[in-house]
Amino acid sequence: MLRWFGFLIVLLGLLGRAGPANATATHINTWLNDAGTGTLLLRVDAQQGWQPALLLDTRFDVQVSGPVARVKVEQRFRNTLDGFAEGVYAFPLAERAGVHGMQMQIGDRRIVGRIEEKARARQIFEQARVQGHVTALVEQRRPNIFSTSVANIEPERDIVVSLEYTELLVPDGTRLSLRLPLTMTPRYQPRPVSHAENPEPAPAHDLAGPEGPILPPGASPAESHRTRLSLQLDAGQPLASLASPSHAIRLRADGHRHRIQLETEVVPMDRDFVLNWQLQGGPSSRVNVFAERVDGELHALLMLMPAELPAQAERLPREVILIVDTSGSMQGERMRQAKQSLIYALSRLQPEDRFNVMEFNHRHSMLYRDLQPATSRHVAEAKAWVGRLQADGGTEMLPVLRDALAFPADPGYLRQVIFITDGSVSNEADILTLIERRRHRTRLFTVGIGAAPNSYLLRKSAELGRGSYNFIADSGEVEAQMALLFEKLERPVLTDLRLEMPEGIEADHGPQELPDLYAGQPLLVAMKLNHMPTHLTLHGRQPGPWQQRFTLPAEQAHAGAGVLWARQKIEGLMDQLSQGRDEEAVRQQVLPVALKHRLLSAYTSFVAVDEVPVRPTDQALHSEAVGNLNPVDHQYPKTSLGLLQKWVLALLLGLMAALLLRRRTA
Amino acid sequence: MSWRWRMGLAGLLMLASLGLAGQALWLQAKAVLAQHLIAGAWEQSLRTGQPVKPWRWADTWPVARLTDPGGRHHHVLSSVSGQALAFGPGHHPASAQPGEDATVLLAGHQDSHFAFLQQLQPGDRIELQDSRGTVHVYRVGQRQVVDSTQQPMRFHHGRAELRLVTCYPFASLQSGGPLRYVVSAWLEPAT
Repeated sequence: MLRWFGFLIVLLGLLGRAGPANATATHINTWLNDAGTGTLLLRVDAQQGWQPALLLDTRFDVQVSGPVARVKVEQRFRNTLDGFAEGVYAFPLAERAGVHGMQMQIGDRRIVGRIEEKARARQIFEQARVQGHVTALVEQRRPNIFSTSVANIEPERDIVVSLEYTELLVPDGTRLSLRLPLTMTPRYQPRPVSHAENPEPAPAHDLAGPEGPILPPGASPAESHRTRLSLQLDAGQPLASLASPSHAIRLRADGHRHRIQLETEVVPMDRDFVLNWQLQGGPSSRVNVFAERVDGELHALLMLMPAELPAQAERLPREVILIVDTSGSMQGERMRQAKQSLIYALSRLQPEDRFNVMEFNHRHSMLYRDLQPATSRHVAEAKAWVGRLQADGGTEMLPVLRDALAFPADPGYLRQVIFITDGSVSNEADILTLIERRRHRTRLFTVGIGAAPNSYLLRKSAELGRGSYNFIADSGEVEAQMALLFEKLERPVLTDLRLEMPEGIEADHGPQELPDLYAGQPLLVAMKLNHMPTHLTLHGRQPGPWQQRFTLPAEQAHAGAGVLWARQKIEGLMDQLSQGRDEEAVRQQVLPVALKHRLLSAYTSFVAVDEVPVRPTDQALHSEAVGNLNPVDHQYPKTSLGLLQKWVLALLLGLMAALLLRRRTA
Repeated sequence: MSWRWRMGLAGLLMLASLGLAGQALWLQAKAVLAQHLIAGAWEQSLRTGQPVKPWRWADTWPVARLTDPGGRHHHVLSSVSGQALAFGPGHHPASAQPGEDATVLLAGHQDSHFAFLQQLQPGDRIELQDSRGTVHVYRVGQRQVVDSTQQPMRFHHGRAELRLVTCYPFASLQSGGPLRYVVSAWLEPAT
């Protein structure tokens, strides 16, 4: 008898677990699809669905002294609803930024964010969110894309999340540039490499773009998505020029100090802010040392600027492959700038050079089947071909780069690839790995086009391709920036660099393998030392042996220099990923550095939790709704009829009935 | 246990069993029969260029026709509500139209119309006919299982994807779980 009851209970249990196979409302999906980057997606605890809440304000406070920029970014989120809300905001930051501080401000209360291992931070945030505390989490999604998550914003209240970062501005000769990314170009998600090569399904997170959705024009309220900016610049010496190619600015000078403000108090966040300046005469010093003792260890970041190299007597002929991005994201002004750049590049070729031009979107094609001598006829042909290019379609960078790097190189020529793009792709890691593995003797130069290029990809590609990178923000800049690029292409390069330390100095420096330097480029080295040497010597080839001795200033502490060191150290470690090193091994090395120096990284996040919960737990309605709180709940519709379950149950019940009857007859 | 008691219990169990079987049969029949009615509505809709409801009281109408690699047609309805999915796969209204340079999302039941999803292999050909009669060809790319409570559904823009979604695991005793089987297919260039 007991057995029968057991059966019944199991059956009832099965029945009880059968959920209704109805689908839920789809307005959440609809809204997510329409929402944009920089929009806070707000969700109210009640069944009100998603509503656009305003990103009222961001604010940048920038202090530049010498080559170091300290930036404070404030993100003010306002909950315009009459219920508690939470949200996620994906945003870009300068890709060399070392984020070392986070604060959350609610009214007068300030809560300092803690640095935690990424999963742990996420866990703290989730717990606080469920328990009704105001909480904020800042994570790194990509090297230059971050996200802020805030939860339990009180009705009709503001919450401010502020970040502090330090960025080392790397000079190019006497020119320096500061970029504050304010928006992102929607990134193209390339298709899987190929069915044969990559039979494994891509990880699920690849479905979502790292930058989140992008707002179509006019979709955000006019008072949202605006930024304020205040900038102070002290270059330590007189400036030859100071200008912003991106925004109208007002300048006030006081000796070496400059105050920079926007012409209008607020500007829409529809393009990056860029400020360029040039020092009068040479750089004040060929050596910059940023040193700080952390736990008794001396951490130093050295920036060494080799003396101007003598111009090479003999010009080596070049093989130049020009690649231009003609994908949909390049439409309009960007394509015009790209074409201008190409035309300029073509006109700089010499008759003894050889060249080819390639264009790509989701397909790619090239002007000639092989490299051709740059005769005036060929150059004219190429210019006409470039003039006819149209921007449309996807952005498949891998195939075109693979083909460009596969052209057999003639040892009598210098092989140079010039890559003109806005870099709007999300498979940066694959691209960097390809460049690292296939570059051989090729040097890769990147030209970033547009108001919001993917500067991380462009800089990193050039570094791995042992070339250099330039940005063109405006049509007026094309000639000047391309001229700079060609100056580098045509000037000698310092190769095979190595550092020689005086005796008694123990130094652990990264990167282990020093990059090649072009004219005007400084060398950046992060070191851990027992004590600061008085001098060191840099050896290299150009192509004959070359060396320079640098005298270092006496040891002096710079607060925050540890951050610069750690930032450089972590970047060096992360680069090993594109060289094929195991991710877990890299993570194990990055974690202690990031935690010790309180740096946001791929493996560490900032989290802040207010002490007192604001959302009362005695509110029955609200706590009930917490169960529905997950923002991604019911994203995909329900897609099962539960037929199998019904059949199995029917069969089981029928069997039991039959058994009961058979017992009787038996 | 008395004979009477036992007979009574057996009768009840039998009734419940028949009831469940009937329900399952009814759901399956509905899924199959409705497709025939919808096929008629689709033909008419292609001729007239207007949406046509498959039956008078229907709250949905066909918007596309999906052809699986085996050549079977599935008529796609304009909604992904539970009522609509009982009759056929649904087109997510927030996703793109067939052939557009963005994600077209179709959802269907794993135990009826979209049961064929478990057999799809990369490289398989899927056709999607739009309301103007144009047939777009997609090739299956990646397949993956996502947790719908953890993974937001995001659509591609600027890239023509056909995304087919159904519940996972296949042949599961429980329905209403959080896992989804997601197949992405990419548009072949028109020839």
